[in-house]
Amino acid sequence: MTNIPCKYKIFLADDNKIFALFLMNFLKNSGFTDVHSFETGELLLQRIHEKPDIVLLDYFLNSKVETAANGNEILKQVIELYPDTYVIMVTSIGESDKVRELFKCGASDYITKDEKVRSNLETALIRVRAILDGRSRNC
Amino acid sequence: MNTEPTLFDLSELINLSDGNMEFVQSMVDLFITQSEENAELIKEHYEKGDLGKVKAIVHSMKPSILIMGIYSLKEDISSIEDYTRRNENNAHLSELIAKMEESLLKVSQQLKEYHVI
Repeated sequence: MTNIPCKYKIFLADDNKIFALFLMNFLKNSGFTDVHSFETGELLLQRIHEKPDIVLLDYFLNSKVETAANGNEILKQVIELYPDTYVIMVTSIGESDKVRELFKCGASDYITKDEKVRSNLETALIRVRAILDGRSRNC
Repeated sequence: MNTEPTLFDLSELINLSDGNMEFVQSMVDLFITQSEENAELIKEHYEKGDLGKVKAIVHSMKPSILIMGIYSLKEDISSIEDYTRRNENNAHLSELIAKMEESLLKVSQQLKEYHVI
């Protein structure tokens, strides 16, 4: 896993504190120093004006706050406000049938929370760094 | 001597943490709190007949269970999800809920007795 410092700002929304903590730690160990975690999509949207480069969104976000919007709804709002945001959806096993819909709504990538979550994340981070680095060279 | 099997396996967590044992300890502490809360919430919502909330909580537990290596709960969680998704409240679901509550409290107790650092 590379830990070359990375300037991109990351927001992540996950209502499972353990998984959120794991993600924060993994991202920081991967060189991302500007990482912010939110328990709901609504809390993330309150700070979306900070224009994160990357957003990681859990699909189901309502286990703690019953009325919290799910990840696909938050995805649509993020993309509507900032279409260039690189959104990675985070899904559990069995939800991959929703993936096509998520890409239609503007998701750039997805990872699954299964036994291979570490390698799933590593691959996704390699992709996003390559894409965003490429965009900044073209500006 | 305690002959009960250990319900968790932290090797994957330690691997994911790149050997940062302080971080592993903070995850363990968080899991203990969460599992005790979840055990209570699952029981409460089940007794009220709110299978939707039971499903949401059980679903949210899945990645934690994987990270903490509590493989014994994996199938039960899937079964509970299946029943609650279909809104099927039956004797088997009732047994699974009771077993889940007991298992979460047991693993929480075992983790409290386990010294990470």
